[in-house]
Amino acid sequence: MNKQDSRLKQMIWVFRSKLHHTGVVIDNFLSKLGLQFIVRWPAWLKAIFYLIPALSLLMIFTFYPIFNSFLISFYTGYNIQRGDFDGYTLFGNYQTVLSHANFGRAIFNTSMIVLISVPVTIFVGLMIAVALNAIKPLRGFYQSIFFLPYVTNSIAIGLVFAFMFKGNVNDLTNLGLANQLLTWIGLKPIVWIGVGATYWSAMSVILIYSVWNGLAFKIIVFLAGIQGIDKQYYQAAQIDGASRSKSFYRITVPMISPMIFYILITSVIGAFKTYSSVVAIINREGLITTGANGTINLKTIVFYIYDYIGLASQDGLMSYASAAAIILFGIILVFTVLQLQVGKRRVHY
Amino acid sequence: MMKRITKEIKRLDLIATLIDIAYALIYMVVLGYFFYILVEPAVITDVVSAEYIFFGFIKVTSAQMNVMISLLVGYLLVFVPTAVKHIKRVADKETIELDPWDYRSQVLYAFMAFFTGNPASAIIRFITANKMMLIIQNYNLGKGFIEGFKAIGKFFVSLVNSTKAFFARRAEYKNNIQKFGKEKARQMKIDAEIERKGSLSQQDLERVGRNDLIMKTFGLVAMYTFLTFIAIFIFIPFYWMILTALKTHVELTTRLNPRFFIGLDEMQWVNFKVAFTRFSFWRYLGNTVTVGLISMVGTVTTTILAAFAFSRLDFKGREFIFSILLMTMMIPGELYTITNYITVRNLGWYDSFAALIFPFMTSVFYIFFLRQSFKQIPDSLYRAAQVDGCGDFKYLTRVMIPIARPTITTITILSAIGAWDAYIWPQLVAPSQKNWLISVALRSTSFVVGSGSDARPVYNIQLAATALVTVPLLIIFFSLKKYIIRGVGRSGTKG
Amino acid sequence: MEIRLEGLTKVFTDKTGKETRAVDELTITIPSGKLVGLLGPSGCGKSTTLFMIAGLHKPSGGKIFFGDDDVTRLAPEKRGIGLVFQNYALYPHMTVRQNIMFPLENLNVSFKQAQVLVEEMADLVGIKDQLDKKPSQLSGGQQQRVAIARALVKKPRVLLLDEPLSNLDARLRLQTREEIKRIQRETGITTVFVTHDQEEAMSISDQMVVLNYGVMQQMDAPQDMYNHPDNLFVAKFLGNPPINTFEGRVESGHIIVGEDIVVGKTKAKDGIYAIGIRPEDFKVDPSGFVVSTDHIERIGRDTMIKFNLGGVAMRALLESDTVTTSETINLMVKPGKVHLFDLESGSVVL
Repeated sequence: MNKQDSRLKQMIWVFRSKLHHTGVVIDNFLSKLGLQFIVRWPAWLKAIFYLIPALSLLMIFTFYPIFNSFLISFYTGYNIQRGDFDGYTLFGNYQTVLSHANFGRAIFNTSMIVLISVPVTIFVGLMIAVALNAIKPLRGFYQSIFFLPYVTNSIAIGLVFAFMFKGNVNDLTNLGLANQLLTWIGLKPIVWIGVGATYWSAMSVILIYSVWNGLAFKIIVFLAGIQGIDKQYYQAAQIDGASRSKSFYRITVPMISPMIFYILITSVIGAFKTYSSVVAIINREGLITTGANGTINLKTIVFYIYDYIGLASQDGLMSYASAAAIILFGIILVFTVLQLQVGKRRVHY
Repeated sequence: MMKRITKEIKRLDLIATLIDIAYALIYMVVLGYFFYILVEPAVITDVVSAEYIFFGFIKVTSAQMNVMISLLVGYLLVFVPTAVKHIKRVADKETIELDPWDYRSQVLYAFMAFFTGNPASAIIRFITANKMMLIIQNYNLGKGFIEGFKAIGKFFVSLVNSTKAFFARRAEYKNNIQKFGKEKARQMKIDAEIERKGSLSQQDLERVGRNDLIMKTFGLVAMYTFLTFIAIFIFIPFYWMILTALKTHVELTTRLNPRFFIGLDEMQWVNFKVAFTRFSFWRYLGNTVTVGLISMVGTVTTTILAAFAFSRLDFKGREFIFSILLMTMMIPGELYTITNYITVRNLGWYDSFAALIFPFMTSVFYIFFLRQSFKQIPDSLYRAAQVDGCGDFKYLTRVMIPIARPTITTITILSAIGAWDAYIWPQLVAPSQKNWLISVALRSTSFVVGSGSDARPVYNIQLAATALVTVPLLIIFFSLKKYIIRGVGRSGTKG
Repeated sequence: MEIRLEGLTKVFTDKTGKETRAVDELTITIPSGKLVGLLGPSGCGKSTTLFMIAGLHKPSGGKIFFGDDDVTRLAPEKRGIGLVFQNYALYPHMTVRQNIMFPLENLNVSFKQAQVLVEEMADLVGIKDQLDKKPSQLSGGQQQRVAIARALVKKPRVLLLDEPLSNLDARLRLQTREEIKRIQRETGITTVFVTHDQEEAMSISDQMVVLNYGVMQQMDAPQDMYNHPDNLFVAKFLGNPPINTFEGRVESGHIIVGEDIVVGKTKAKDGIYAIGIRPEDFKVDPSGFVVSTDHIERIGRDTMIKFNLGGVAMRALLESDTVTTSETINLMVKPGKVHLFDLESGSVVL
């Protein structure tokens, strides 16, 4: 092992030496001719070279689209296939979008998801992180299990959830896991997401899934944060006679408040963008067409946007998608700024 | 003497590990062969009951095949990760400090090897464990065991004693209350304790200590219960998925209460094969892997270069450009999607791999993350390299990248598995079936039997397909989980 | 290889446009093969000077010569210097061996030759056993030796050390400064090091340069500088316990403190001067002036007393044998040990 090792090392050495040496030779040669500027680049030129790959991609696929979306939202009669449009309207598209019943519904659906799943997930995640921090054996085992949802495919697990929540009162041979559990504790099975479901039963499934999915990332971040708190703070508190819950509220929470804050902001932003989970659990239209209760609409704002993208070949409808997307951005912006303002006072660094 | 034994131990460990790996590989091949010869049902809802013939004369029924496959899968699930762990440990050039845990784990692995038909490895590991014991106990073989048992015994005895004493005191206290009334009883109790312990404060401490212990145990139990409940909650979808994938269609549609466990011989591994072959999952897996790999390479390259520029190079407007980049992280992806869709069409990339790869070859989040890591490398290192004649690019490749390796590993892993999860964008720009990525395929393929309004989904096959999509990622996760978890955690602390 | 600095100047301009002269017209010659210490309080420009010699900072003015070569505009790697940083700057992901070999990669040296050099250096600094370890596994003292080995492996013309001893604990400092001296003697390389600890500088330097606010105060052999400081700053900077300084006057060749206490004789003109007397330059003498002791500290071999002389609080360091515990004591100043400084400029008079 050793002989081969050093031969390999020798080859690497020679290669590197030669490489460097050729560089020096070129440099000297060019210096003699006064042409050293070819290789001695000033910092800003070097920076451009290093940044070109990333920045060019970002230009095309990030900055330009943002700009363009704004433009499209001001067109009327824009047709994506012909690439032309009829005229301009400043707020026309926005007005139309905002007055759509569908859009209002989408906002309601999305708000439900944001306002319920985010606090629940953060709270439960925090509890779990604290518990994980307090135990030693089996910690790695639990950590692995809790982190599983992060690496799994949301569509796949969404389908599993759909499967777990199927069934209805009449067909007792076809109950999903959830209904099965209900019968065990003596309740009658309900239709969660199938034909005949109610709005809240379907929404609960979506919410449960959101929580399930969101725990993983938060637990990891919170745990890392808690573990980073200096033990001396707790020792000082112990000497001062603080109880467990007191040290939690007065030491742990403030010290990881930056992390909680970061998670809060990113979770809210993420929750507003819910889409694929609804597709997975409900279906690609986001609608449950039923007999008794009418059509249950579970579309989120993003759903709405994609619906109109799908209709892009019809004149002017793409602009609705743009407008809706920009409205979404506005909502997120408002929420984030609000959080930042609150954070300034409450978060300690 | 010490050094020689350590070298021997390492060598033995290495041999045993190599044997383990060989066995694992052999079993994997056997498993693959079994899958290959599994007979698929003609109609996907049927249950196959075929007879397989090995070596010309051994007859094996379908049920027995199922059992064998189940055992093999179980074996590989346990042994492949442990083998990987062992490799890492053996390849470590540093001298390991031996402690009782190493010894116990060696014995454990020895038993495991023995019971899975790997006698060679078992024997070697027993010898290794023996040698380890020699070192730990300073060549005194039996003493270690005896000492260990003694200590455990002592602990229990003291626990029992103090509990007995505690209850005795309480009983006496209660007695005293009845005899003398509460005040006097309390005084007597305190006096007795002072006598016992010597001082009031010490007794107070002890009481606090005892209460603490009870509280601690109670707290521990509560926490483990809580964690276990949540773990079950998290784990159920996975379990249910695999369980259902292994059931027969008949069972799913006719049984009243779905079972939580099924026998080894009833595990229908053939369902996976059906999902694979009948629904062309090879192709979709291939697509996803290709896209994933290429975008990973692209992402890592652009990220490293950009992060280097933002952290090490000094140029005007550096902070300004960087803040703008940061702001884009806030913007919902849907805003880009619209225009990118148009751009992709205009470039003629519609329905091709290019559309799937290029837009995602870079990510502001990763650039930010890596820049943080780069910034932590002290300036003096750069100066030292400069004095030694090291140019910028050389510094990047020889010093910065190796030092930031954990972060780069995390980025690599995360960007590779990004392709796995993607649904929205691929579905939008690459809708034809030959280009499907795995999540799109999953949602779009309908595993149904019957037709028209009579069509009912065949859940076991569908979930088998789902499992096929999920499981590879899980395997990757388990092998690399240390890096992933560490990386994600670090990203939060800097956030 | 002698190092010559001519009028070396470095001016820093911060964001508000304020200028700071970190180094001001520094002109010194560091003789070849000597160990020279750059000494001064924090911010006096010594590290800046060191980095300019290394080539990491560009001078705002002046020139630097290595021997006869003008290296002022030369890139650091072309000057042939070895630099040991204050925090050692070892590459944490490479082994000690790889760390030391790193500079050789850029010098067109064959693999075998490089390995021989590494072994040689490791021997020289005394870390031969640690060659395959990573820096994080070494103690502070060992890490520093690796840093020195790395600096020396390319056989530089000049060795530069930035605060080499400040990161070490007291016990290690003694040992390490002897090591540095030994290594310098064995290799004969012109060495410049920077420190703010005067005891350190005095113990190993062949010559010392004292800087204050970027201006050189004095350059001399340590003991000479100690006994004959060129100005008040140098006098106050060197010596522990510090020199007693106060105002006094000269009348007809007598140096007088307070009302009428004569502490010494001088040839200086009459007038008022700043006077400095080191605590150890007092001695007990029955024919001397009487002072009342305010405070006595016995520290083994020495006894330090605090007393009042002519209205000025002073300290004296006396041999314990000569001091008896009493309220008053008779002191005299050893002849020639009274330093006279000009009141305004601070420079020594006579």
